[in-house]
Amino acid sequence: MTNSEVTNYQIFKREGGFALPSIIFLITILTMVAGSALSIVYLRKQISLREIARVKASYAAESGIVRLLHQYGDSLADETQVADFSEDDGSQSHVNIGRWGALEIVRSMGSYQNMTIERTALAAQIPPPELDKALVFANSSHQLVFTGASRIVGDIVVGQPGTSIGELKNYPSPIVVPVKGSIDRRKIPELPAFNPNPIKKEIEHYLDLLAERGKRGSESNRVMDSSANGSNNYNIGRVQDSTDYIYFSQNTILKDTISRRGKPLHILVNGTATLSKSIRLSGLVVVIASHMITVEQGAEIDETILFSQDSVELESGAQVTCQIIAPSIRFDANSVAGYPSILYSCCCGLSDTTRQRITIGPHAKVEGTVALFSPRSIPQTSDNLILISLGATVTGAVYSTGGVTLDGSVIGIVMTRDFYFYDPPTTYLGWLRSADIERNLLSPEFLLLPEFGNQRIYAILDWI
Amino acid sequence: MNPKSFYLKNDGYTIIETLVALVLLISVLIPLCVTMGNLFLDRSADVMSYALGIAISEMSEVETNRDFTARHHYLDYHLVLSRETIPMQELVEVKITITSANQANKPVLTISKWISSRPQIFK
Repeated sequence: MTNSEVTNYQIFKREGGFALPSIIFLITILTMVAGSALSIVYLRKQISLREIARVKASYAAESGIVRLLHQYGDSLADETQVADFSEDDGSQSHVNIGRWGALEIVRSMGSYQNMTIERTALAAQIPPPELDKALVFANSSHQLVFTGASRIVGDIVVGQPGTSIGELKNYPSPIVVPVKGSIDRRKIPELPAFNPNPIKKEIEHYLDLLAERGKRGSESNRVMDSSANGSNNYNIGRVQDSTDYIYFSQNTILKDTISRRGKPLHILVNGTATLSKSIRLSGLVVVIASHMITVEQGAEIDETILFSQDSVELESGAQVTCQIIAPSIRFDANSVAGYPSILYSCCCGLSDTTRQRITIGPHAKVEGTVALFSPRSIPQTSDNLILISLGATVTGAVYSTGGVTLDGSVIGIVMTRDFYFYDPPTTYLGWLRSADIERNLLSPEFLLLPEFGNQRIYAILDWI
Repeated sequence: MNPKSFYLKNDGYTIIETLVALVLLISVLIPLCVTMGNLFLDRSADVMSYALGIAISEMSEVETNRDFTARHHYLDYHLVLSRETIPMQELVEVKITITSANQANKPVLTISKWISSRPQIFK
């Protein structure tokens, strides 16, 4: 008999108890089961607590934005750009306000326990009380003359010469002055105060970026001369999230989709930029071009800024929601800029201001603010002109330090130094032939391009 | 093996060993069962999730309807929702507290948010 056989024999022959080891084994199994159940319950509770923390941090971030905007509007101090807020429930927010084109951008970091949530919003201005009028005709030298089917629903401000009815070939003359509202005749009617400097600073910043050819920031966050390969087509979808600047040294056609929520993307084009029908731009994206920007029909542009030193043109049928800043802006027939859009004509650092013009073609629609600010001390009515064609509609505010040719409709406010149109062989100043202004139909929630009036109150225009 | 030697053997489960094993089992099993029972009966995570959902929904309703009136109402799980609004110029601080009907002084959840009292439109 070998040793192993002896051992096995002895084991099988042993009749010692196995109760204690079996109970310990059982207890171990039960403890493990209980431990697993405990962890599941614990995890579920942790998930609930985490979700609560996430909601509290998110609400803190949003509350911070609302509170800063309220504070910012009250103080009107440029240095009030950063603020910290604490809530009763222990959540906190760190908020800062800056510029995003013609609008304010507010970023807020809400935190609760270990959870942090970032929220970003675009802010604009609540129309001040002086903008409750349908029309401010800031011209003391001649009358406001109505002919054809022109009419105004709302209160108006005019100069001392007041209003009258005129006769024009091919247009019927109204029997009475077609104004459903009060007529305030002022000795020196003035346009509501508007501070162009913040937008001017933004424009200077864009021009600097263009002049620097995108050489700002570290090399890792820019794409240089992307068109150097000879092709003028560029798929922006391949741009990495870390990229801040893309520079093109020639005329470029942009395609594909990009969306930015966190850090902005600057697309700099030294030439013309064409936003093709397949492009989808949304969020914090700025397209800066030295020459014309063309938006093709089918392009989808949301929250983006389009800045050109020359002009921006929306092809017939194009639909966007964006800020357009350029000396000349042209909306072809049936193109649409949805709320909240801003069309701002400026001289963009060039001495030649004669190109300042905003043209809204037949049946085109703009929802937001259409503004033309000329740096000239005495703007030329015919050169610095907003032209709203027959059938076109602007819902919001129209502001011009030059003139306005208003043949279409405005649901909201018109503020201008003069009205202008040319019907051969005569130039008509102060005449309205088919204008329709209805102040009462403008929603009370409408927000205006900031910098109007002396006392400003800001509100959230859009969440990004 | 003869019958005599079988009766003389002392091997097998001793009473001591059996008792120790039983005591060990019982001393672990009873608290384990109690804990497990409590855990399976514990619905605090469910209650918290439910309360959070209700509170978010209430906050959205306040924001959408701009209804800044205070109110209380009863929910499932014997919970009570209280909406408190504190106006401050153009802002309103909205506090939504959910408490257990049995322990009114111990809130299950409180969320608060500052909202502009002015109606707003977003696209």
